[in-house]
Amino acid sequence: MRSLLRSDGAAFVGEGTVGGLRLALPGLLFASPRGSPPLELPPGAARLEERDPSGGMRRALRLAQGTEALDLQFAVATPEVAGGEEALLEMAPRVVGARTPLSASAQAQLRQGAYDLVVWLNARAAWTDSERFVREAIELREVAGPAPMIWAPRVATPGRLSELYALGLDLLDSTEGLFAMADGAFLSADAEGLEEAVGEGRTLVERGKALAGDYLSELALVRRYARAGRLRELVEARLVPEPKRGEVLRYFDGIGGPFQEAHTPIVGSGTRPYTTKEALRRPEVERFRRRLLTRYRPPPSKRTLLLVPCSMTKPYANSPSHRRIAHAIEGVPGGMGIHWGSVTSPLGIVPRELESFYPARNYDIPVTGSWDEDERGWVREALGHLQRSGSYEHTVVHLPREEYRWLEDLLPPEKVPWTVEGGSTTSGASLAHLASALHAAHASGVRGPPGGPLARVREELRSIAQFQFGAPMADRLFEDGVRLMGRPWFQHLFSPAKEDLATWREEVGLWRLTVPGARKVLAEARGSRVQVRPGVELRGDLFAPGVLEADPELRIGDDVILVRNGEVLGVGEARVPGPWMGRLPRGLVVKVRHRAHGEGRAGATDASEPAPADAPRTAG
Amino acid sequence: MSTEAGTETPATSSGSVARAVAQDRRPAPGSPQDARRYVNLWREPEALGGERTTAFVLILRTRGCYWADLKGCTMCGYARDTLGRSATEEEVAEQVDRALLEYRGEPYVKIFTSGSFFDEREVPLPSRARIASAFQGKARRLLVETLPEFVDEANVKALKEALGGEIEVSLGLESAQEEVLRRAVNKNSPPSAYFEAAARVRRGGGSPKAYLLLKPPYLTEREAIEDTVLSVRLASEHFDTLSINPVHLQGGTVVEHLFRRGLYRPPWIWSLVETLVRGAAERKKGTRLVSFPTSGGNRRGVHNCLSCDRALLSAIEEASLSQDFGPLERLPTCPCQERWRLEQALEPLAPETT
Repeated sequence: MRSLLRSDGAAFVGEGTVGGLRLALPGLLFASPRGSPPLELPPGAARLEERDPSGGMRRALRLAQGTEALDLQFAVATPEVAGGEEALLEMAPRVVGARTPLSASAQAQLRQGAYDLVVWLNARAAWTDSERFVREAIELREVAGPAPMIWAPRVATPGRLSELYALGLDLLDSTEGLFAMADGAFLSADAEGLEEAVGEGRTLVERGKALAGDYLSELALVRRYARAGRLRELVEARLVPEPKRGEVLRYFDGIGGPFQEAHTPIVGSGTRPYTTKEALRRPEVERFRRRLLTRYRPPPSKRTLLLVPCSMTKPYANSPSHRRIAHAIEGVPGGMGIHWGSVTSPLGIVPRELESFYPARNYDIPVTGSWDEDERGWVREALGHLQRSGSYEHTVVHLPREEYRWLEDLLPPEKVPWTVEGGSTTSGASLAHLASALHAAHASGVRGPPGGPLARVREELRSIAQFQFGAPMADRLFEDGVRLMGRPWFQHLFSPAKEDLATWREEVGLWRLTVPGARKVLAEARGSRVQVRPGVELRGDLFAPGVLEADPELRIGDDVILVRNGEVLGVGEARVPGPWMGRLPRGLVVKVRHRAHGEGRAGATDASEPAPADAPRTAG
Repeated sequence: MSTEAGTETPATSSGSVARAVAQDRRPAPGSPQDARRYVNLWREPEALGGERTTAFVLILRTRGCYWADLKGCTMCGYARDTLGRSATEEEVAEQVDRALLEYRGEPYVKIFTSGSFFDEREVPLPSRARIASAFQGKARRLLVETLPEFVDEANVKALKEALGGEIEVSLGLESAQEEVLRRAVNKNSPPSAYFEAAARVRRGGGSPKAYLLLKPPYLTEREAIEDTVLSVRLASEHFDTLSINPVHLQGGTVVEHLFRRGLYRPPWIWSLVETLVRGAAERKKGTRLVSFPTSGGNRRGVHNCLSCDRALLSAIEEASLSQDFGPLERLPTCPCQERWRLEQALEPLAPETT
């Protein structure tokens, strides 16, 4: 069973227990073939040994750690001969073997059973087909749920570790590396494939020791990256020596996209380097692009779309170039009706009010001025969506024409002013062109929403809420004459009765609900709710046993409404993905921000019910 | 992932891969022209009564093995060499007549049918005596192969009379372990059926011979060696000759299906050497132990590193003919031997073989 310290995507950093073993996760089993000298292992690691089977077509393996050992005994499967429905293979108490694709009966068994360890018996067979491997690794995790560890035997070399853990596999072993070493391969993750580097004259035992060191150092690196929430960067860095890894990652970003997105936090910090082409398909990027197309509508009072290049400084609005542009167009009549859209790879177009939404302020890419087909496609898709869903009367393109000629069919220069002269958006001439184009556009007068500048701020904050919660819940939050108070970087949303409904901070980019706000939106909050188990007293944070059910749309960092019997118990922030919430045996699930007064204690009806047997912990 | 078009074996949801493979390899019913042509013939070195000789080997084109149609053994693709229907008496006669044109009086004649010689759906009853009598006075010994369920004393006796010489009946025992036979080889009868059939051959005056399969799918290299050594020990009292056949990959088989996915490697020659040396020590005295591998030294057959293979295979042939296995214990070493040992140490660390 897994205990979570923190997760990075589907990778799980923490501890796994099975039998008497306590394994540090992500974990590695060190192959100890018969007759090999004993390996010195760090705490949390285990040895993988062969045992004598009890006879017939049976095999036995031992996972050993210090004086503890777990013996796995099993019959050799012959699925091509046997055919038919394959059930799970009992290997030890709370340990089963599974072959993928899972049969219907194996699926049912895996969903119901409480297992500490699932051995993916045919992982190596699946590895020969990258698409299948990705599909079946995901299937196995989704069916088994977040509680058990999954071991994929004999697929890992040191250089593959990061990718295999990123797929959500917990345990790998060093057997394949020993095989490759026997064939003369040099596997140190940093100099992989340099066959001449194989230690001439070193004995197999010495090379085996060196290989164990290679696994250990790469494992340490994986853990550091995963703890920092940046395992993906190591995965991308390790692609080069083996095209197979590129295949696997591309399938993981393709067919595995929804699975990855579910495990990807909605918030982030720092700057992520999107250096490789593979980085442009990271799950948070795909999610941003998809939400823009499905959840976002430009605020209706925005009458002029101003397209500008993105900037290295984030948020873009703080960059020197954007500030110079802003300065140049100060004084344009109806300036609040100008809608800035930053054209960028890989996000497409980022409307100004979404600049603080992860990952819009958290990425950096190599910039060359040449855009590939995918990058162009994302921009064109976003532009089409803005044009269709916005109420723009004018568009002004402040992009260098040479570089963005591929947008001319959508933005014909004879109809739409392109205001950059030469290559520089901030040259005096370019800025003068821009200012006069905007003056001309707005000369005939620009209609704004009733209520003046504050109404426009409200529109922008509402479109952020739409992007975050989806339109139905955002609309509900903003209806009935709400009022805003605060600063551009910190806003409060109040009901007419001056009840605090929600707050927004620029550095997070997200709305955070209060209990009254949660009550107001509850009917539309599909995707934000966690149902608290009857009898659970909400004193602090919510832990796994207290969850009855959770909306699967919840992501780490998402705002959560805690509900029981239709009543709001509190609000907080998700610490694990929604799909894990009802299925984790232990651990913090929701960091509670506010509790409802008079709620959270076991109510009259709840008190009469016996507490669940698994003794929920709720103290924070 | 894409695979070579037309070579992919469909794994049907209802049945096993083995079943799908069996359906796939059976040829459509052959024309009369096909039915007049035997599959193949060749000569090979053999030993007869302690003396070196040459064997004349003929593969007849018949309906083929009924079991290959129903389920099929995991390593056997001989169904591809069949007619897809029963051959008539005349057609069988014509095949034999054509083969006789090539026959030069070799004293040892082996006739195979890609199935069972004693199954009347393959070789019509009247054809048996005709075939045997065609070699009368020329061949000292005639070998035919069959599944155990078709062997009875009378069959063997009748054939012996028609030949006027020795009859050797070979049975594809493959393994003397019931579970290996049933689950890894996919045979239709347990080892006891083969032992009983061997006894019937003896009662009919024939000499029973068994083939043992080295490394059926799903077994590790080490398990495969142990299986065959044990099989030699258990089978040697029932048979006069034991012939070890290391798996070679035939088209349209489960082993080939696994091989294509990187899940099967034919056995090492080192494994065959170990099996022969240990088997020779453990067999019942007087039982001949031989191995004449097909596709030896080739990636699709028993092989080592492909550089030491030739020398080892000649030593194995020599030992099989001379029945002196001492030289196999004193073979020159090769660096690949270390790799073979390591594979045996590492392979059991994964729950499934590849």
